[in-house]
This record gives sequence, C-alpha cells and structure tokens, in this order.
Amino acid sequence: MSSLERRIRDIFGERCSFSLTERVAYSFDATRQRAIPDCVVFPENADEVGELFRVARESRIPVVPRGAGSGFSGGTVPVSGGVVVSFERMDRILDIDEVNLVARVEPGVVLGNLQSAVESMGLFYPPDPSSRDFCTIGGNIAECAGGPSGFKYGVTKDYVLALDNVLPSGEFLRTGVETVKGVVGYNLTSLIVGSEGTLTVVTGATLKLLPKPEHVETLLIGFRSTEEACRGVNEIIRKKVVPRTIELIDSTAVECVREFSPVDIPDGAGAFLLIDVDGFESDVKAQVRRVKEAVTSLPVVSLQVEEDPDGRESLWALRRAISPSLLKVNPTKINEDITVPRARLPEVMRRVRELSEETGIPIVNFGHAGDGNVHVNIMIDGDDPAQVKKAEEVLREIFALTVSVGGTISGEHGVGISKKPYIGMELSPRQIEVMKRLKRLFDPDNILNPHKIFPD
Amino acid sequence: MNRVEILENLKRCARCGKCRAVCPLVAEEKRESSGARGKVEVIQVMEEGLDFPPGELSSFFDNCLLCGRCEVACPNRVETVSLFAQARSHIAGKQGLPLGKRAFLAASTAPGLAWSIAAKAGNAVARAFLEKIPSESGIFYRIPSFLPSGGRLIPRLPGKSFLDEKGVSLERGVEDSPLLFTGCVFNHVYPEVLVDAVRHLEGAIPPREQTCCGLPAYAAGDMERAYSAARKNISIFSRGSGPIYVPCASCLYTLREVYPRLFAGSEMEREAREFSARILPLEEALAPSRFSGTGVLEGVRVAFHRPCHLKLFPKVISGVYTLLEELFGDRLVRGEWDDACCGFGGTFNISNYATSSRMGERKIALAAEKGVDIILTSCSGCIHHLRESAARSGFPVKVLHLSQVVPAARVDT
Ligand SMILES: Cc1cc2nc3c(=O)[nH]c(=O)nc-3n(C[C@H](O)[C@H](O)[C@H](O)COP(=O)(O)OP(=O)(O)OC[C@H]3O[C@@H](n4cnc5c(N)ncnc54)[C@H](O)[C@@H]3O)c2cc1C
Ligand code: SF4
Ligand code: SF4
Repeated sequence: MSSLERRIRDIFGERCSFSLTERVAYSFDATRQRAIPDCVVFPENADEVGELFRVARESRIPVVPRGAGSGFSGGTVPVSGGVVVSFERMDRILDIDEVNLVARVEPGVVLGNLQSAVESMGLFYPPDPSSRDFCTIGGNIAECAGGPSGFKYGVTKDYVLALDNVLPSGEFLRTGVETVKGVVGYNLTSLIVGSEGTLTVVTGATLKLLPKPEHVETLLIGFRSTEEACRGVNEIIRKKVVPRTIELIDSTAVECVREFSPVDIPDGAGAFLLIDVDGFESDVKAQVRRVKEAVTSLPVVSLQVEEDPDGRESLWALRRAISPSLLKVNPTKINEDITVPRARLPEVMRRVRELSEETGIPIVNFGHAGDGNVHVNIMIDGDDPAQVKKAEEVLREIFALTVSVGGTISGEHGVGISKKPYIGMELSPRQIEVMKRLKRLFDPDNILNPHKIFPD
Repeated sequence: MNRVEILENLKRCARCGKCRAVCPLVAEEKRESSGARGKVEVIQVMEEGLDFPPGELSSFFDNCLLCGRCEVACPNRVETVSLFAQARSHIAGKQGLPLGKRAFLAASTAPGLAWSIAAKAGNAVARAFLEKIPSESGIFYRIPSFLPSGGRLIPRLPGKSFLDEKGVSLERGVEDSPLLFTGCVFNHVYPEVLVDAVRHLEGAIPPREQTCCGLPAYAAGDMERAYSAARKNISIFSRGSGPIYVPCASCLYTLREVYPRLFAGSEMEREAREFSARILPLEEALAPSRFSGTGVLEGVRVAFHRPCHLKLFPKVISGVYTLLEELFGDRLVRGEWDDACCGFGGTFNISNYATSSRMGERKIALAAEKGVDIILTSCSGCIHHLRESAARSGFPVKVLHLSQVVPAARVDT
C-alpha cells in the first residue's frame, strides 16, 4: 500500500475504493468520455473533503468532484487521474423552512427527491433539467442546470442563496446570505454557481423555494413548420403571457417520434409547441385563452389543452419520446445546447435546416424555445471518420452563427472538456485571461478538476 | 447473447444515468458500481481488452439482483440483464465460479451432496424430492448456501410436488386449452399456491414434463443449463397452442423476455418467439369484473408487493390494484413502498446475503409499521424471501400469493 493510499484510507476508512472495477465505474459521464481515476472516495462531511485536499495538495494529485455523472460536457471525467470525490452519500435534505422559504441540503441530494419533498409541503423548487430523477444538486449548481420551466422561473443560479464550500487549500468558505437580498461584498455565490467544480467543492447549499402553483394546464399546438412554430413563440410573448414552459419539437423530431408517438400526430403537423401555464386556476384559464389568441394569426394545424395530470402527462410523453427515438436516425448523437435571443430563433433554425440539407447530416432540434435554448442534435455514425469531420464543420458553423446573433454556445450543459476547443469563439482573450486568474486565485496548485473549461 | 449483440448493446447505452434512479442497489449502497451503468462501463472496458485483477470481477458482477428494473427504465432498450448474465458466464468460464456457485454445481452434479445437506438441515422428507428437482432450479442454488450460514429458513418440502400429483402428460391434440407453467419453487416447495392458481384457470392443463424456467442457471452464468431448460420447455409447451399462464413473475420474465434473447439469430428464434407470445401472467386470469367484491378475509389489512419482474407489465400491475381495491376497499394499504424491492435476487441472495436480508427485513418492518397483516405478491422468489425475512425479524406479517386470497367464484349476472 502506498503512503498516499494509506493516508486516504486513514481519512475515509471503508468509504474509499482503489479497485479497478470501482475506478472504471467512476471514469465517465453522459458524454461517454472516459479517464480512469486512481481512487474514489465517498465523503460524509466537509471535514473529510478538507483533509483530502491537504493530502492532495502535498502530493499534487487532482481532486474531481462528482454528483451523478449525468453531465453533458465531461465535467466530472478525471482527465489527469487523481481522486474522484463522489457525493452520493451526502444526500440529506437537512431542513425545509416553510416560512423563510428555503431548503438546506447536502450536495448529493437527487434533484427529484428534493422536488418531491418540497412539493409534498406545498412548495416548489423550479429548476427542472430532464435528468431530474438522477442528477444531484451539487451537479446542478456546478453546471447551473436549467430546464423547461426556465422560461418563467429561471435556472439554478436564481435559486442558490448560500453555499458551504471547501477551497482547494482545504479551508472552508461560506458564501452568500440566507435572505432574499444581500449586497455586502462581491457575490461569490454567483461566481461559484456554474463554475463546473473548478473553483470550490460545494458541501452544502441553501436554496430558495416558492409556493407551489395551484393549477397547471398543458397545450400542444401543431404548426406546419419549425419556423412557424418559432414565430408562434414570439407571438405568445408579444401577448404578454408568461407560460411556465414553451418547448419546441421540430419537424425532424416529429418524424422521429411519428411511428411511436403516444399521441396522434395530425396530418400536416410539422412541428409542435408544448406549453405549460401555471398559477391560480382562474388565472391559468385566462392565460390559456391568451395563448390561443396569440397563435390564431398563424396557420395552426392542431391545438389540444389538457388539465388533468394523466392528460398532461400524455402530451409530455411526446416530448420525452424524442430522445430515445433519435437513435433510429444514426447511432451517434452530438448534442449541443445553443441559446440565442428568442427573436432570432426562426432565422437560426432556418439556417440549421439548410446546413442539414447541404451536408446530408440529419440534425434534430428540440428544447426550450421560450428561452431561445435549443438542443441541436447532430446525428452521425461516429465510426465513420468522414462524417465526424463533416459534423465538426457543421458544429463550428452553428456556433459561429449563434455567437453572431448574440447567443451563447452553451445555455446549460457547460464547457467541461467537450466545448473547450470552442470557447474562444464566444469569449474574448481578455475574458479568458480574467477567468484563468480567478481560477489561480482559488486553486493556485491547479489540483481541483484541472484541464477543464480553458484550452491548455 | 453473441458478441455482436453485446457490442450493439454497449453502443446503445448512452451512459445517461436514468437506470440509477430505479436500481434498488444504487438506492441501498449509494454507489455507481452497484447499478447498471457502472457495470456496462466495466463490460465495455473488458471488451476493449483491459485486464482486471483476478477475483475482482466476480464479486463486482455478483452485486446485482438481475431484477430488470434498469432495462424497463432504459430509454435506449439496453438489455442489461442479458449483458450481466453474459458477463457472469464469461467470468465463470475464465476464473472459476465463486464459492457459492461452485458449491451449487457440485450439488447439482452430485445429488448425494444435496441430499446430505438437506438431511442435515433437518428435513428428512426432502431427500426423496431433491432427486426430482431439475438441476437448473433455484432450489438447488439455495441449498449449498445453507452450509455457511446457520440462521436460514428452509422451507419444509411437502410430501409430493404439484406436478407429481396433478401434472398431465401433454399429448398433441390439446389444441388451445390453457396451460399452466408452475415454476419449480411453487411446484416443489409451495404447491398450495398452484392448487389455488388452477381455481382461476378453467380447464388449464399443467404439463408434467415441464422443467425450471432456467433463470437461476442464467443468473449464475450457467448458460448451458439455461439453454437446456429453455429448449425443453419450448418443446413441451409447443405440443399445445393455448395461452400459458405463469403464477411467478420471475418465471414470467424469463419465459417472456429472456427466451427470445437466448435464441435470437438461431434457428430456434421463431419457435422461441411464438412460445413467448403465449406467455401470460396469472394475474390476467384474475380480472376484477369476474368477482363479487368485499367480504374477503374480514378485518385483515393487505398490501401488494410489486415484484421487480412484473415491471414489464404496467397494465397488469394497475389491474391488480383495481382488483384488490374492489376486494378489500380501504383495507388495502397502498404506498410508494409497495414498489420497494425485497432484495432476493436469486443468486444475489447467496453472494450478498447481508444486503439481501437487510432489504427484505426492511420491507417487512415497513409493512408491520403500516399495520399490514398480509403481503400479497406473485413471485416465488419474493414470497420465499419475504417469508424468511418476516420469520427472522419476528413481525407477524404473512406473505401469500395473490391467487390464494382472490376468490375464484364468478359473478353470475
Ligand atoms: C438524459 C439527460 C438529460 C439532461 N437534461 C438536462 C437539462 O434539461 N438541463 C440541463 O441543464 N442539464 C441536463 N442534463 C445534464 C446534467 O444532468 C446536468 O448538467 C446536471 O446538473 C449534472 O448533475 P450531476 O449530479 O450528474 O453532475 P456530474 O455530471 O456528476 O458533475 C457535473 C459537474 O459538476 C461538478 N460537481 C458535482 N458535484 C459537485 C460539488 N458538490 N461541488 C463542486 N462541483 C461539483 C463536477 O465536477 C462536474 O464538473 C441532462 C443529462 C442527461 C443525461
Ligand atoms: S443502460 Fe440505459 S438507462 Fe442506463 S445509462 Fe445506459 S442508456 Fe441510460
Ligand atoms: S438488474 Fe436490478 S439490481 Fe441489477 S443493475 Fe439493474 S436495476 Fe440494479
């Protein structure tokens, strides 16, 4: 046993593993990229993380935090080995405060568990990435995860009030406030949210809650084309209604699910908007009317409204059927999450379609159109180098277009290792330099999740 | 599963993590390696040629219930159970069988040993019957494990198996009469369940020559025995053409899901598919509209334990609830915990006994806490394990098969 192994065992006892099988199980995330760590540890409190950092610093070994490994940018892949710190055992909801409307949690809490717990008390934690049943709050904070409800309620950053952190020096750092406002000093909490586990390790969070909306109704509106659906989004917003979600299902996605669709797809429907409106019941009815009025200026193919949970669920099943059905198109999916100012969405979608036609590579789009955030899925056979190369060119062009209309190349998945080569397309050299200086300030030895975000 | 299929399944897995949310062991042990995705990655790495230290792999793959929940939840239809069974088989071939299973093989190839164990365990009548239990059977898989741990419950084997008494030699020409697949645990250990099951199946024939479904062999990576069981059952039941009712959810899963996979791409593929298409859960015969409601087991509170292997049949599950609500009204205790796995997992119960027992005892404790008198379910593994867990933990909770409490009387309208 090496002295390093002994020191790690001294801290974690049984809760660490050096076996190859276990290390392989912690080598990847949902990007399928892999790097095998030297060891995996399962802390139960912040003190253990602090002690780990002291050892890691002396031995100069990387420390890589990990939630559920559902990340879409390789953020938790230990590219230069080291210790993966899994938060699976720090999964307690410590407190749900009904008066101050906050929840205090450990980072390994699964988002869906937190949501069920608060909803059973009539409260609401809105950020809702589709990975809600398995992703963790720690991962959500690190990636600033968002979901369909982001249109009305914002994303993770809008709900993080305070954080307990461990710095790469092993010291503890508490940031933020437990109140709705607070302006004393710099806002370190917002700096850490979205920092992809490269500045601090989060060991606790205080999250903001809302009262749970009493009533929700769902509309599924069929349009002839993706562009018309995107225009529909803008018409709705012009009418001053703010639905909880406006999800786009584009024509290629419709084709993918047509065969297995859980709901009837009417003839002539080439794209859909899936809309949830919430609030008090009377208010919801008024909003539904507004949405209907808004889209009447367009040639709508179909319109369906559901209010009971089963009916709503059947409409959402259409949205959920897309992702698995994509594999029918091609075995490898390059999944991007560009976000553009929503007024520019119709033209961006048009160009994406042209690119697909020009290159013959299928591109399937769906996602949070209300936010201008679209999941662009470039479908190729990853074993064919020619296709891989072409996809790379398509990707660059889509990113260039996104940035040129004032958008961002990643709305919620983060840079990690996947988008490292592209950040220069969006960020200026000065922005990158300031960010790197911040990284050095927090982590002078470059041991916390190194080689992420910035090209080396 | 051949190599091409293994590779295709590995490729299909997006490593999304959805299966984490449903795996009873991820919930229990809070580790990626307990769930399907971590195991898929290890198989991928094995495929790519990385060598693992000897011994590490077998305990790694033993840590799985083969409950199939991950398969049902998987958006990409990755056949994880087959991948893991294949991995076990591969490891068994290469590195020798882990202790528990080696003992099994010894028992099944040298029946003398099994007798002596059973006899030692204080069950004299067992001896005569063990000879007849098919060597693929789960009963054999359990017996060796009685050796190391003293505290186990051995079901008292009854005088005669169900098929000994009621089995019918299936001649051609039975045409479309319904048939009964007994499963070996019910047949040999709890024949009373089958006596009740046939009450619900008018004119059903239990073919005497049928054998174990083969799941225990499959789970132990013993593919040869799994194939031979499957071939035998397919050939016997092909003498008729009627629906085949199955009272045990684990047999059901095997006959319906695993058989077609076993023979995929082989000349028996069509036959296996036709056979599987005839397989029905016994619950289908317990349609609620056929019974007069209420008054069943007056004053007793019941709960439904949802067997993992019934997950493939969500409609059957909701049908059971409708039926039980009709029969028991507010004496049916419902909750999320209905869905909690009992932790049995066949070979898992041998290799990971402590975890397995903990899960079973927790389920029983929950039932007791909610004032449940009888847990109803429909899987021989769950029944066996939950009874053992109840006996161990001392809670007065009974465990019965659904067919044992549902009245068979038809409503005359
Ligand atoms: C099917 C599927 C659907 C998805 N849908 C969405 C979606 O709709 N919206 C969306 O935004 N994302 C989505 N994602 C991406 C992913 O689920 C989110 O990024 C999520 O926040 C990751 O959480 P995790 O617990 O899996 O984190 P991991 O993947 O384990 O880690 C992600 C990053 O967080 C860091 N990290 C984890 N825990 C900590 C901690 N305690 N302290 C510091 N750093 C930490 C890691 O180092 C890594 O950089 C989806 C993913 C999948 C597979
Ligand atoms: S097995 Fe299925 S659910 Fe599990 S990670 Fe792979 S694709 Fe996802
Ligand atoms: S078969 Fe069951 S125990 Fe095994 S990985 Fe899948 S869900 Fe988990």
